[in-house]
Amino acid sequence: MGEIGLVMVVGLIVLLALGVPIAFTIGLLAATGIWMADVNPMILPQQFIAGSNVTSLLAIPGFILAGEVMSAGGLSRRLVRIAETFFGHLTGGLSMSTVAAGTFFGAISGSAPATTAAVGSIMIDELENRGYQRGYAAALATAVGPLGQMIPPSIPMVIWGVLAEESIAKLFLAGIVPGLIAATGFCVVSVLYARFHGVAKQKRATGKEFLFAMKDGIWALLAPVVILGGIYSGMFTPTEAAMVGVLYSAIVGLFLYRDLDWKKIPSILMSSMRTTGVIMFIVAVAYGFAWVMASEQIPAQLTRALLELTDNPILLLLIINVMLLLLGAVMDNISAMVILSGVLIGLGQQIGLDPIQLGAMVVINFAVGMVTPPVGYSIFVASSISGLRVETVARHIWPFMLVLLGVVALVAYVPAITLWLPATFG
Amino acid sequence: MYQSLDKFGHGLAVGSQAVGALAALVMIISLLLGVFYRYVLGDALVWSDEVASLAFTWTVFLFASALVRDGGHVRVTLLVNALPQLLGELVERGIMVLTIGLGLVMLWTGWNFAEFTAGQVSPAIRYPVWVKNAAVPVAGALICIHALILLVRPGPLNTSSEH
Repeated sequence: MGEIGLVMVVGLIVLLALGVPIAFTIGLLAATGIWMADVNPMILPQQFIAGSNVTSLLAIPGFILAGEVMSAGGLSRRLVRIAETFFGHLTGGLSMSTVAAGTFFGAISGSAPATTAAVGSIMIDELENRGYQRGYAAALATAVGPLGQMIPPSIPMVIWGVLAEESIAKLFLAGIVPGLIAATGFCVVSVLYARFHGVAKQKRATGKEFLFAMKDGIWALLAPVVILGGIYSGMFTPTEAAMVGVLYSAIVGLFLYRDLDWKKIPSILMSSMRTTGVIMFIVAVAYGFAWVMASEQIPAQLTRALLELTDNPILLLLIINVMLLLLGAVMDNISAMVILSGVLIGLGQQIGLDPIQLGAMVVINFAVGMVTPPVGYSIFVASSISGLRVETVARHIWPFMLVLLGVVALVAYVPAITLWLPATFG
Repeated sequence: MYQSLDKFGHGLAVGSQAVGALAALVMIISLLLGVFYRYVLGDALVWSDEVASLAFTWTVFLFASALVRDGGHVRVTLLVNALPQLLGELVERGIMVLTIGLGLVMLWTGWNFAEFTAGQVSPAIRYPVWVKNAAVPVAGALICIHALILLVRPGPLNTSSEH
């Protein structure tokens, strides 16, 4: 690696560790790299603008806003109620209901922390009241977060699709089976937990309660149909679908459920755009960083170095996954994705990995990082909702981590898990 | 003295977020209009994507600058929180200096870039593209102002304990 590459890598580690915000770390290093390479500094703003200007990325504010409007509009509450009428009476039923609600909310929202927030704010207290430990409840809410990223729509999948120039619609499909496997695994954890801790079952919902929950929740249930149905029928692009999702949730919240107040809209818009600003500023500056990396041919060098270690595809896949897991644990997943996309795409081609499988693999590996400190947004959200310390939540996270690691392994070594749906419906 | 400076920064952050949120509304509405025209009026709207991404660029950069003021940008605070208070505070001020650094780079290179593209127009509606490119230097200037105000703040900067 040349001088510039060394400065970029060392700088990244030192500045991030010192607590410099990720976007500013990346931006400063991009500027330093451009200065050292003695190229026209106008490359920098040009890349920043390019990074904030891809039409597909406009889906991100849409999915964030749709998720927030739906939470405020009472849709997530109704999803939880429906889930409870299905699973409530089983062993570990309330915990399974949380998983089901998270899975369903994941089909509306594209973000892990948003899913944790939507489900956790309703379920953590309720789980505790019904005999689950508060730490377990918070860990469960943390764990369902990544489902929001695996189950379409998904913000990281949008970003990967733009970076790798792959179909976002296909990438969305690739996440469904892994998401459902993870959800099933979480349900198994729920049952085992309830057995082990002797959590009492609830009584079965009556037919009347079931019908009421379904009737009341029908508009919430239809939200994913509108968003995903619109994408897969070819009616909307993912970006348009996100905006239609915003409109749909606003109409349902304002006029059908009437849980949403016009007065709340400006603050929802503000907070969604703040989240968007955080994510998209990272993407924009990371474009500059990635440009320097590419012009120094660092991705190609790293790829070659890895291939020199071994050319056994099974071993390489293992190395890539371990690397992604470690990076996902210490780095914000969006910046890691933009920075590493060059290396990963190169490696994927070398070992003959399908680009859609590669994308799903990257997103799911990084999703695991969402549930662990120090950069796991989901665990921070769950800790702030539950009022528990991050460490307390982290102590309860391991059974869910095991499930997620199992999913990571399946995604890496069983291509059908990610490729079957895109091949069938893509 | 500091109070009025702080008030100015607050006003600037509120103002730029309000403009950013309005731009977001423009983005949402123009994309929805695009869908509406295509399906209901059977007529593709040529400008909707272009207007939406112009508005979005401003949303991103305006919010990114305002987020500097209230420490909204994601970072890892494991080390800063573990440091003794004085040292931690020193690191925080150092981070503000670096933040100003990136702000200045954005202001300077962004200004040149906007100037360089002054004659160009967008493909569909032919608006001058400097209108979009100016988002970088404007955000750079705002970032500098917010970071400068934080740099000279009398009280401690790191009030968060988690992230």
